[in-house]
Amino acid sequence: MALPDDVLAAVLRRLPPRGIAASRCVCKEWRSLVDGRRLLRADLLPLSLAGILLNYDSTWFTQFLSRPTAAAAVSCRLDYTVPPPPAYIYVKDHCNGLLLLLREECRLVVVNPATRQWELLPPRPTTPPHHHHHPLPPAMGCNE
Amino acid sequence: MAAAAAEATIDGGGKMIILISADGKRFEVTEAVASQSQLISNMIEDDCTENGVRLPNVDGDILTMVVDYCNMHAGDAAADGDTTKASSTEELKKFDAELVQALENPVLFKLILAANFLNIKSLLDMTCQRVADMMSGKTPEQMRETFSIENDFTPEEEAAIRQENAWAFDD
Repeated sequence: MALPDDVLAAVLRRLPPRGIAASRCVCKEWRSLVDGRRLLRADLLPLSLAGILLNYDSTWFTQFLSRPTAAAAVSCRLDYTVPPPPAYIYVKDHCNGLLLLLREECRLVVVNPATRQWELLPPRPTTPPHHHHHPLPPAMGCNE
Repeated sequence: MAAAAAEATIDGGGKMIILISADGKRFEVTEAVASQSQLISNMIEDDCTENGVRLPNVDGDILTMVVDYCNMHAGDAAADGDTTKASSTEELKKFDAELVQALENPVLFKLILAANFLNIKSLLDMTCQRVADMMSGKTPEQMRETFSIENDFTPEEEAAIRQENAWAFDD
């Protein structure tokens, strides 16, 4: 006996993400229901910890600490972003698994180390006129 | 069940409604009890319950459970004297737990379909939760077994789908 789609969706919605993922493998009909109604919300998925990226202030290089199995998938050598490889790449910030990299020529790059996708951020717009009289200190110039 | 006319009234003054199951069983309930079903509540508003409400896709044994549930949850002390006094919260919880625990397929699915058709939200919520509880922690194979579903994926397809949500399958 089959339940109508609305009812089946009401049932599956009550499962934790792991259960919804399992139900997605049951049959084609269930899979299209889960996908069609977006029951498995990607933004709520548990994230698995493949390893930890370490940033050494003194050397300005990054290391990836992980189990041997994960090391193959994630590289701490972030120099695949924007050839040619710069002398240093510094991890400036991070959010939701994405890294904000600062390269030696002061360009900012957003990179997903798990997929190695990266994007160069556009240069910041020129400073509004009234800021001209208050230039930022040189040390922060690279933030711009 | 009483064979009184559909228009009969009882001590509480509530109008009575006759529900007729697919197999012809008749159930006499107060409007307060019946209108927990949004479907019947709408029919009452539209004044089309005078000749009884035929429910061609609900069997008598399922309708018995639905009527019991609605009687317990009507919360109408005036209705029906000694048998359906307003129930305390504890009594209701106990009743619901016992009803739901006793349910297995295919009766559970039939009750869900009835709750869905009659549009009784609390009963639908409760029965859906029961199914979800039955599925909880199960592998895809166990889910198929529980619900007698045939696996229509090829082994390659299934492996690919598992890979898409690999996090859900590592223990």
